[in-house]
Amino acid sequence: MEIPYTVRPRPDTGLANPKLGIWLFIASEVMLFGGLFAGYIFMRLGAEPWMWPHGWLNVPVGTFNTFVLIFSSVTVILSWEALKMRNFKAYKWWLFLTWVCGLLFLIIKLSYEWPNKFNHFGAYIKKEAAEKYEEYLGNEGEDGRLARGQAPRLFISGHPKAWSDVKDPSMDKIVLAAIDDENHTPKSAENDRAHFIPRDMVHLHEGHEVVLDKKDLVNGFGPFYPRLNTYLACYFMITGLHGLHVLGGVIVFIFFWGPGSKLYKTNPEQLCNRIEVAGLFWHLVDLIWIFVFPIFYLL
Amino acid sequence: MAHAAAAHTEHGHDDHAHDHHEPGFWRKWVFSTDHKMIGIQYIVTGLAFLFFGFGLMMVMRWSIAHGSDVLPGFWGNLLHGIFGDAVFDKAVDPSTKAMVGYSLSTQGYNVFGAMHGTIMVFFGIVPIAFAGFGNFVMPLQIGAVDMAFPRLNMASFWSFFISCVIMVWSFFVEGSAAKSGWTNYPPLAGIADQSHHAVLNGGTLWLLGMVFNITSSLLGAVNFITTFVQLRAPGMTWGRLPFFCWAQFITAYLLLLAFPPLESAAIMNLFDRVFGSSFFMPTGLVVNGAVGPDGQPLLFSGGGSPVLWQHLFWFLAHPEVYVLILPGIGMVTEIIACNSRKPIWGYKAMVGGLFTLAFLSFIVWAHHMYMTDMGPKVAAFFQTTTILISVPSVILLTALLLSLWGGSLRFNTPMLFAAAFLPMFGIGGLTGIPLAFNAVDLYMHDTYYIIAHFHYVVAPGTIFAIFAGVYHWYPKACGRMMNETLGKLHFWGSLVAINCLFMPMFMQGMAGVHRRWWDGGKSAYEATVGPWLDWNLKISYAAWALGAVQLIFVFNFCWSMIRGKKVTSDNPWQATTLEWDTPTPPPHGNFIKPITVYRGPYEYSVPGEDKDYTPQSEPPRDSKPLEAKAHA
Amino acid sequence: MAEQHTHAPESKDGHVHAAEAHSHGSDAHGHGSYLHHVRPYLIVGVALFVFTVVTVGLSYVDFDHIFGSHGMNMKIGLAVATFKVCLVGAWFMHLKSEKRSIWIPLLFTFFFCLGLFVLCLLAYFNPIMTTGHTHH
Repeated sequence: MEIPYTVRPRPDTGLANPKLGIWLFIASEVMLFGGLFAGYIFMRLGAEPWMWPHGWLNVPVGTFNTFVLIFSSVTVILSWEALKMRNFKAYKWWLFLTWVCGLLFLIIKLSYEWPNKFNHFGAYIKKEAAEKYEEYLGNEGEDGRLARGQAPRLFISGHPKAWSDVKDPSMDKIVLAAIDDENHTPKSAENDRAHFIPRDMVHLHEGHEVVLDKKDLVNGFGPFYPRLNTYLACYFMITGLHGLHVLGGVIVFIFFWGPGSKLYKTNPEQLCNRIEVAGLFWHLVDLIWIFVFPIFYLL
Repeated sequence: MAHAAAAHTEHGHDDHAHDHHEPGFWRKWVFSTDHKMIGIQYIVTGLAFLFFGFGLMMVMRWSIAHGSDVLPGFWGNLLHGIFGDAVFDKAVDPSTKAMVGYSLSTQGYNVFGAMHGTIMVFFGIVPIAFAGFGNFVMPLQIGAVDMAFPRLNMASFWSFFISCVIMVWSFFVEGSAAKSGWTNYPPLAGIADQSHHAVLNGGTLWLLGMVFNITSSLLGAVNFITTFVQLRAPGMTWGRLPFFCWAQFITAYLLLLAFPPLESAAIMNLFDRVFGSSFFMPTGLVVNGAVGPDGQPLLFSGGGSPVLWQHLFWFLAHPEVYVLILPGIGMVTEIIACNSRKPIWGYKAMVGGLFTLAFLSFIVWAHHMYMTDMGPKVAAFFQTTTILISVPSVILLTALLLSLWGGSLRFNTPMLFAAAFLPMFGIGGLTGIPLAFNAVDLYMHDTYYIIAHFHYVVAPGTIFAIFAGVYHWYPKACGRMMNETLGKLHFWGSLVAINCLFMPMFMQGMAGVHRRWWDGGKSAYEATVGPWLDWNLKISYAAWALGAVQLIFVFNFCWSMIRGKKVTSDNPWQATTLEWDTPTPPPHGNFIKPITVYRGPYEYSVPGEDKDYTPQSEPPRDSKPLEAKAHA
Repeated sequence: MAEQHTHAPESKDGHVHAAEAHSHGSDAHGHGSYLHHVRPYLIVGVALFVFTVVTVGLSYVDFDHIFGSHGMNMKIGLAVATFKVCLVGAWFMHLKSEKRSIWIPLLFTFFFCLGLFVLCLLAYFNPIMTTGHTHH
């Protein structure tokens, strides 16, 4: 038994089965990420301006990752074109580059970007206690944020002296051994538009010991986990799901680069179709990232 | 360029391994890629869940009728043995301190209620009506050898199977299964069970199960659409497709585009539950009079929106209503055409109605959300679209009703179920119209009126269609007929019991009986809805009677497999569509001769023909021989 | 997507050449040079790089301040992203020369996706919906 039109297109529809299949899958993926982005829109509109962080992610690294992904999108096309021209060697090389780029993207994400959030500490100060920490928030006074018509900043971030203070419920104080730029010089003009300052998260102002009273904090304080705030929840969820798609693509490409490429000897046309279909999926992954990058890193 | 030669030698045909050898036991019965076997696997799994879900409801009906009275000894012991202390309370005689039995706990009522809905919708009806019958019948009807992606088809079934295992498993973890309703509304759904294991608790397993279930449906939908578009036999033009295939095609589209937003919502909710994020957790949430369970602060940042879940959930769940009903309408159409020996009235209008229905179903979802703080502008929009969507539904129903007119009806069991489907679905649909209006809905919402309304659509609606389908296609799958006498007994028993079950609920609902009172309202609402509470027990008797009647079906289904009357022809119902052109049961690859389609799907009683049905594959008498036409 | 293919077997010949032209595996491609074939992709690739730089650059400009209107940076940033996505879709995914049976369902998908966004937003901006968030 043979399923018709697995390689050659059906004359009246002009399509081969896998191509229609992958487009339908892409349509469902669009709806999947559509749902997630709808969630993002809801969360962002619902948040008070000062609750929605800006500049927490490293823009140069993110930009580099964007380049990596776009580059891999080009190489997968080149690989497919090479296969169409029956240039197997070029096909192998371009496909190799494609999955290496995919892997590089994942490595940057998992070894630098994500872990970098976990050793950082952040806490929202309750409104009634804001005065106590005014030195680090910079809301009051002639040159304060309120006087300049800006939303108050109620967030302090840095590195705690001992993480056990954070976790232990019997400890009522948290001591920050180092704080971030915007709490170090809260009234500087640079920190006015927190929103467009790419801030290197590892670079902290050492020696600025700040004692935070736990009862002054909104209960969601802690490392930059999804629990700390909804921005991070959106970030981890959407980049996580996107990362799973990248991983899937990388596995598929490694397969077609390795054992799967044997098909070239028996049916190059079918291999060509498979690369086209896998490529379409890979472009979708790229396409999603094109939206993810600005909404989390830049805007 | 060394391989250029290879490139030119191979173009035309696929490099399939031509394995004609008989597959082994595992490949044939368990890990099968044959669409018919997968269809049967879906139907059998789905029927098992349908009865399981119904069983849960029968226990709930005890609680509604008798409150916390102990269950009859045998049943109490049995159910407590299965579900344990989380669901059943031990009842002790206050004077003698002796144990008198078990009763369904209030928490257990919530568990059973949530799981009844989940199981019936996502594990019963969709797997049977869409995945099961779609898999078995649709490729046969379009003249395909199999689904377009057989291995994907198997993956889809096994993904579904994993979700089934997770859902059943969730009954046996600490604190039992999910208890936040089948709609799983946050913030309750975010905090329920959080005191148990971090992952292995009812609420989280429910979400995990749903993620697998949704994945299965998505893979299935991709496969169905591709098969429908690509694998139609020569001559099977769009206008010659049986209506059932159109219904499956549209259903697949609904699943494909509506399910992903729920998947994303389920992932967000998983994040909330497992990682403590706040997608659906509002700021300042107070639970049980304290900030959190046990007076501890809830450890999340807040700032989320419970209404977001409702949007994403109902974005799926309204199209889901049509996912439930369209395959049913498709089956009923086939059976009515066959048993009234008459073409379907208004085939084109029906297909057009399907497309309109599908399109509109994506923009009506918030009529389930009038009770949220939704403003009048949005409510006005959704009222309008909701009223609009009743037009294509009525077209479908009217066309089927008119199809009966002047037919020579054969009242065999499938036809009885199919014919009963029409008024039952009609009642369900028409009672939904008042609910489309915000002002009425605010009063009716969360009463038994709603319960009666949607159960009329899916229970005597879709489930009757499923029964009709089982009786109709059983001879094709098994080579034996189901027993007619038992079938008729099953039908009449079901019809009477199901109406006694749901009809009084309309009255109860209009009187104000709320749908979530675990003891039927006796403990607190006697004063307001008192006279209507007497109905609870009567309704429960109807429910148990309905359950008893289903045993006839179970017996008939199993017994006929071994002892049923053997079919004497491949086309026992003398139908026109292609599935009856196959041997019985159809072998792997379906058709033993190349199949070509020459005519529309419902050529019954064509004037001038020698018999009252003309199969789609029969060449026109006055034309050239088969080969010439096929390759024209 | 259904109506245009009503005469499947009859129209077989009419469509078969079009289908050939689109199935890129045939030897017709053996003649052109590789660079000639991939040039459009390279150009699009470079454009994507450039627009990535542009979008990063634009994010450092405070358009809210310049236009005196809220959310301008968001709108401009998303416009650039949408443009990039269109480039990827049209060229990399060949949507500009794709069959109607592919892009008509896709259009519906985008429509429903947009419906999800817009109707949720509508619900959000409806007066009863805007509850203030209290700050503990």
